[in-house]
Order: sequence, then structure tokens, then C-alpha cells
Amino acid sequence: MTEPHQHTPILKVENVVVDYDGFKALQGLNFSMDYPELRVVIGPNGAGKSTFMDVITGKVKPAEGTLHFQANGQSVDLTTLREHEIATLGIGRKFQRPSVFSNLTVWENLDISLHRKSKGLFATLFSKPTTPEAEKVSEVLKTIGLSDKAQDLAGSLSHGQKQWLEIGMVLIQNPKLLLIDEPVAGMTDQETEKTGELLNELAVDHSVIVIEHDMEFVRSIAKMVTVLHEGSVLIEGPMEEVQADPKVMEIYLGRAAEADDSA
Amino acid sequence: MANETLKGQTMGTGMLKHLGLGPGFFICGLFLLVVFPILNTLLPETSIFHISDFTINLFGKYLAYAILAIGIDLIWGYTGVLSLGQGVFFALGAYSMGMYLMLGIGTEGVYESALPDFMVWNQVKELPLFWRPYHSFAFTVIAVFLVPMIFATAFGFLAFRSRIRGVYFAIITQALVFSAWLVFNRNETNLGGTNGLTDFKQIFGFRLGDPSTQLALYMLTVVFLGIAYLLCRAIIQSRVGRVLIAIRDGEQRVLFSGYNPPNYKLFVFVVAAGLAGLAGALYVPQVGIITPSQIGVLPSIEMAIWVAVGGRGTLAGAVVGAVGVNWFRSQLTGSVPDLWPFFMGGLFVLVVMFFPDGLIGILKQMKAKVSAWRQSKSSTIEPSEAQIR
Repeated sequence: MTEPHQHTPILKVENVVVDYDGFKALQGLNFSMDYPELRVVIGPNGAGKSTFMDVITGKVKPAEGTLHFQANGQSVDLTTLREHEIATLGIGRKFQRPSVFSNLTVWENLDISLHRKSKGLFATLFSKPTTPEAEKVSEVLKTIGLSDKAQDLAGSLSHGQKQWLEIGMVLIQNPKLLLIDEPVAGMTDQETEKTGELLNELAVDHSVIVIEHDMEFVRSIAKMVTVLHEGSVLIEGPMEEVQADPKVMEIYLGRAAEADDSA
Repeated sequence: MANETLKGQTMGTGMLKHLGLGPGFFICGLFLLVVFPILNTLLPETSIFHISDFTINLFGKYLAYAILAIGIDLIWGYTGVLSLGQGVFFALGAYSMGMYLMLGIGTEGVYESALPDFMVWNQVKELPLFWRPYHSFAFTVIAVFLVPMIFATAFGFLAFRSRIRGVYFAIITQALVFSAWLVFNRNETNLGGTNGLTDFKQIFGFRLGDPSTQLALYMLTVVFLGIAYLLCRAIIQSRVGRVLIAIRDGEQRVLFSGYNPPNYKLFVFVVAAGLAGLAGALYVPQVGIITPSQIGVLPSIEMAIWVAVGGRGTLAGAVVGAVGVNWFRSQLTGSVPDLWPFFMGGLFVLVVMFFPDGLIGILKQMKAKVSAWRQSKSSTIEPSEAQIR
């Protein structure tokens, strides 16, 4: 058990409803998590997992409900902010498909993602690279294991390496909360294992939400699991408890049975 | 080892820090600014190396286009936003300069009136208000940049804020250029209607018909092209340049990295508009006429094609494309003018299908092959050089 840090609430989501022209992707979702913590969110397709991330990062605005994020000792209402403002506040997001900047080097990818006081146009135009920044980039390169690829174009990396680079890009923004969407999709077993270690390392001094389909991987990393179903939380708890829950078995097995029927 | 990489990173990226220009820039500058004018003025016309006044004038026009093309490259090649409406900004610069030149005709016109001829013809009794500041050369110079830039700010602000992207943005800029074309065509706009502005006599006291005035305008164009190139190079090499490429590669990722892409796009769009305005202002006194047909939908599309042919995402490519395509056009329209649109279209398809990086891309490939061949001959490679690009 690792309990050296004091756990404080960082994110509180209350009664959030997201309405896509009549289709309610989230209906009255309640969710909260601590800092630091690693939380895995699972659920069948269409349960609202990606919408859940969209609504936290400002990509989608909720029709109802509140989202509060604890930043710099005060509670901030996320529903009033735009994507880049939320990112600056300390919420980083890694997309499902690796999205790195193919025509920039690995170093440059990290350099422009780096947390800065201002990412406004003129501040960026006249900003000069500094030694602490370069050290920070080197440090993250080491964390994600891409030190020897620093001068390669990001487009030339393997799929797994791109995933790590993007995690690095999110990490270097110095976020308190990381949202990571399907990190191991398409990875080899070895890469998957390495990713699991990386996520557990990060969870020591970050809050990390991971969305994942790969149940074996979930079992290997998860302590706390939240199950989404039809736009709200079905159950929350330790992995063993969740796995044994009849409702969870029903939605997964029920789906499997349907799939068998249709096949 | 790690320290060396760090140093390389911190050294090479500062804006306007040692420019590190290649020899190509200076060789081109030397030829355009020194050798060509000498061949034009000092050699007798009978010499085979003599460059005629006509050729100097033509290249002045091509190089003015090249300034505009650099702007397109910045917004399209680097940022990935295709604007098919640069003709509008070119027109705003060109007409600004044209109005100053019109007023410079004075009473030398056909009707010997202080008003421009077309106004007398249209029975306009008094110089319209918006024409009056163009008596001043200083005002004109400022307007050449500011009018297109202000217009681009207003248009770009609305378009980028509304998150209009990709092909939708291209279509909207086409609509913009079409409506501008309609406005410039109307006699009521008081800009000469379909005939545009022409019959200029003098600029700043120099007769436009003098070869020496034309040579000076040509050299001025070369200098401005050099400045435009250095300015855009400084932008590209700053951190903003990397954000621009990042926007092209994955705008969403940029947004979630804490940048606001619309501001960055607006910035390059406005810079490109300023360059187009400058190009228009240099074009008009050298070509001697500006009409709506030079700025419409088709010319605006052609401008994007120059950049595609030359090579997107390299500033040199934009210059090569603008000069090359227009030179080719002059050669061709001399003999088979009707066939030009087919050549233009064919060239575009050819480039897009087989050489997505344009002429510069072909050059780079050849260069890479040559250096690979050299490396295989002598195995002495300097690793530090190869690592830091």
C-alpha cells in the first residue's frame, strides 16, 4: 500500500447531463476523485466514456450539472472555460488515437507542449529556450524512454512510441489531472507492460483517469474502478469487487450474448 | 553527450539569433540585385548577355508575385490553412498604390482635368472622399500594408473564431474574392470599374516610362522580397513557427496543449495579407495597370498553384513557384495563349500526384541522393552535424 501522500479531492462532477440533439450521452453523472489517485473508467461502447473526457476538458459543454476542479487552492468551475484555458489550469488529455506532431522532432513536440506562464501569441513569438526548460524536456524524455529519439521526427516513431510521446506531451504540461484514453490499444505485450509501469509511476504525484477496454490491462494496473453504463455511474469500487458484481457481469455478458446472437 | 544536445537545442532556436542563412540566399541576392542590373545597363544591346528592359520589367512582376507567394506559403504550407482569396489583399494593396498614381497624373490626362479620366467619363464632379488621402505618398505607403491587414483581421477573426477550417475556409475565401471582384467592377465604386486604374505617368516625381525608374522599381522589389523572406523565416524559426506546423499536424492536440489556435492562424493570415498588399503595390507601377480581372477568383486560385508547384512548406519553394510558373506562362502565352489554362491545370495535377513537395522537393531528393552517394564513397561523417538539423 502506498499512502504517503495526503489525499485531497481534486475533481467533483455533479449531475452532469450531456445532450446531443436529444440523445443523452451522459445523464446525471456523479463522479469525484482525489489527488493523487489512479482511476480506471470502464464500460461498454456507448456508455459515455469519451463524452465524460470531453466534458471535463471543455470540448463539450454540459446541458446541466456542475464540474469543479481544485486548482491552486481554489475550486474552479470548468463549465465556463474553453479548452486551452482548462489545459493551462492543469488538466492534460491524451487522445485515443496517438496525436503527435509528425513534422516536428520528438524534442520539439515536448518543447511546445511544455508548461509556460503564457502560451499567447506574442509571448510565444519572443520566448527564448532556457536551460531549465531543456532540462525538463530531457527529464520527460527519460521518463517516457525516448531519450535516444530526441532528434527524430515524431512521424517516424512506432505506434507505441507515439503513444508514450503523447503521454510525455501531456505530462510536460505539468498537469495535476491526466486523462488518458485507451493507452494500450494496438500495443505489443511488452509495450503494454511498460505503459502500465509508466501510469503507476505517474499516479504517485498526479491524479490519473484511464479509460481502457483491455480487461487484462485494467486488472494489472487498477485499484479503483468506475463502471459507466448508459451515461451514468453503475458502480465504483476495487477491481475484484466490481468484477464480481452481478450488474457488471450482466452488462458485459449480456452484450456478449447479443453479439453471439447477431453473429 | 546529453549536455551537447541541450546546448544545440538552446542555441539554434532563438528568434533572430544568428540567422544562419545558406549561400543560396546571398547568391540569389547577388544575381538579382547586382548582376542583372549590370547586364541590363552596362552591356550593349547586341551582346548575348544583355538583359532587356522588358525582361527586367517582367522579373519585377514575377518577384512581386513571389512576395505574395511567401505569404501563401506561411498560411497554407506551414499552417495548413488554404486561402484561395489572396487576390483580395493583393487588390487592396494594388488599388491603394494605383489611386496614388492616378492622382499623380494631375492634368496630364486625356481630359486635362485634375480628376482621373474615368471619373470625368462617368461624370463624377468631385474627387470622392476616400480618394483624397491618396494625394500623400506617406499615407499611400501605410495604406498599402494597413488596408489589407485590417481587412484580413476582421475577416479572419470571424472565420477562425467560428472554427471554420479546411475546405470550408477555402470556399469562404473564394466567396470573399468573388464579392470583392464584383465590388471593384462597379463604376459606382469609383475605382475605374472593369477598366481599372491605368495610364499612370509618374511616381514620386520619377517618370514611369523611364527604364531607369523601372530598374529602380525592380531593385526595390528584390529588396522587399529579401525582407519578406527574412521576416517569414524569423517567424518560422521561432517557437511560433513550430506551433504553426503543430496546428497543421494536429490542431486538436495544440488546443489541448494550452494554445489557442485561432489567434495563431489570425496572425499568419494577417501577415500574409500584408505581404499580398505589398506585392500589389509593387506590381502596379511596374505593370502599369490594375483591373478586377487581375484579382478575381481564377487569379487567386493560380496564386495557390504557384506555391504548390514550387513546394509547400519551404519559403524558397514559394519564390521558385511564383517566378517559375509565371515565367513559363509568359513563354507560353507568347506562342499559344489559349492553351495556358490547360497547361496550368495539367501542371497542378502533375505536381500534386507525383511531386507533393514541388520543385524544391525534387531538388531535395536529388541532393539527398548525391550526398548518399558521396557518403558511400567516403565514410567520414561528422555525427554532430548530422544530429543537429
